[in-house]
Amino acid sequence: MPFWDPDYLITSELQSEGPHVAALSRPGFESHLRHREGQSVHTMVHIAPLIDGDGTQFGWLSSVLDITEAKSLEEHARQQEEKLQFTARLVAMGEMASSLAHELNQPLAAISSYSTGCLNRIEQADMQQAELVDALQKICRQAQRAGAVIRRIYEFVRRSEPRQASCDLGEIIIDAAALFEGEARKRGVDIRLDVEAHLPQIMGDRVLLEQVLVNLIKNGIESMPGILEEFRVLHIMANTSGENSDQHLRVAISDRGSGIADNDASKIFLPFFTTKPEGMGMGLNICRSVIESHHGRLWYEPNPGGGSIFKLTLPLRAKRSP
Amino acid sequence: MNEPLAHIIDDDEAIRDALNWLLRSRQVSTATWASAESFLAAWHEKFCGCLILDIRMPGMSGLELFDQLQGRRCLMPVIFLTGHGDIPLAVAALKKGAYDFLEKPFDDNDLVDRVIAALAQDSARRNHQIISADIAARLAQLSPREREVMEHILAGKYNKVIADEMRIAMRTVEVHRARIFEKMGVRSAVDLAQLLAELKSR
Repeated sequence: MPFWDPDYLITSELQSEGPHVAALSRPGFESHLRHREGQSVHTMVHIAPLIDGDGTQFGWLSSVLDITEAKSLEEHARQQEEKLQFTARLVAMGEMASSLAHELNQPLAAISSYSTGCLNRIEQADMQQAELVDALQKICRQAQRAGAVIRRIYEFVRRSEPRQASCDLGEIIIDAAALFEGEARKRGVDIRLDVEAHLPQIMGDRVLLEQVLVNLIKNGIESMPGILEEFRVLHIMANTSGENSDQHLRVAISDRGSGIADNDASKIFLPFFTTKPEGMGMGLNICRSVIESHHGRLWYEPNPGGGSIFKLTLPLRAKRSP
Repeated sequence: MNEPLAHIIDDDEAIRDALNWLLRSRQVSTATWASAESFLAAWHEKFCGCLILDIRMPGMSGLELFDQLQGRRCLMPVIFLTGHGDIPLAVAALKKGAYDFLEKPFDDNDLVDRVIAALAQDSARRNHQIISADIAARLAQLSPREREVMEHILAGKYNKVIADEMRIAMRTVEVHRARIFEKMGVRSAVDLAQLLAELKSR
């Protein structure tokens, strides 16, 4: 068989021995043949038994199709798709960058004001060392805050999978909610946690998942300023559902706020869509990307009692990513 | 809260705290507010000083607060802090009577200078208000007749001329003049003219 491409010789031999058992069910197989001018030709080989009128097999019929062109088109399409995804990511990053620019400017502005204040005080006779220490410590904190924003940019830019580690979603929810304790008190919002005890651990990126919850909780709290105080409740529920291989964690964050207009409901996860005058329209979009990168789902439902419910599910057995 | 304060209104806790420290480093008394809503809820017409207002805030924006305060005849000077790209908003606010705006990032001591200038303006305004109210109160004590005599005095006429024109005794004009000076708290016609000029000047 001088025409078998030597690189594929072993599989080619196996295939040629196989027909007795496999040919009838096999629709054909791909193989690489060598053209007499030396280049490799991608082929599709179909083999069928030749059977005479008595039903006796007297030979094999084999057809070999040159599919090099089809294959290269397919490869091209795949590369295009990859490029497209990369471009989409760059566009999203551009948007992200301008919103992060604002987030980054805040700590930088604070650092600038603290330092100018320190310089002013150093020149004054009644300056106390303790007040400078206090201001300098605050400068450090703001520098770290700026650093954390930069880190988030890195996390976002990295094209890799989220960092996978075993984490406790219940704990993440409690931590995220705790961040809003002060804010909720100020706004008269009651955060009620209804987290099932001993939730199974999931594989995921703790930082990103917490960011999602922070975003959703923030949205919920901010949606309720015009509501009677007794109804200003943000309810966060987490439990397990499903069985065996389909088992997943469910989280629902429901508010009694202003809700989402019907014709906006389909758009809230789109990038750049926002109902907040100062919003960038990236929050929910990024939340969904994060949940999807964990093979989960994030969606919105109107709260029957008024307001919004954001629901998400995360599979307990993370599928291997493609 | 009658003490003049630089009211810092910003949703970012660190910015609030930093501006607070900055202003106090130059002996400016401050108050901080985490939202436009909280300031508006606490606002009272006795509030004085100036406002340092972030133009963009979640909930009620700086511009909305400015409109609300104008609606309530709050005359405190407002300095807007604006982000990149908000200049048109800031210019619109200036046209509506905002005191000033600074684009972030700004020179911090420049901000303090402007805050101090705004506080001085507010203090001058309040002084004038007090003086005007005081002059108005004194004027209100004059009888119609005394007002009439006062007009003649302000026109620079001698008592005799006034007496002739008003067809009253010169002695009566002298009594009116003495009572006018006493009620207005002045010692001469020149003082009286200056006092009333002050009321008109503003």
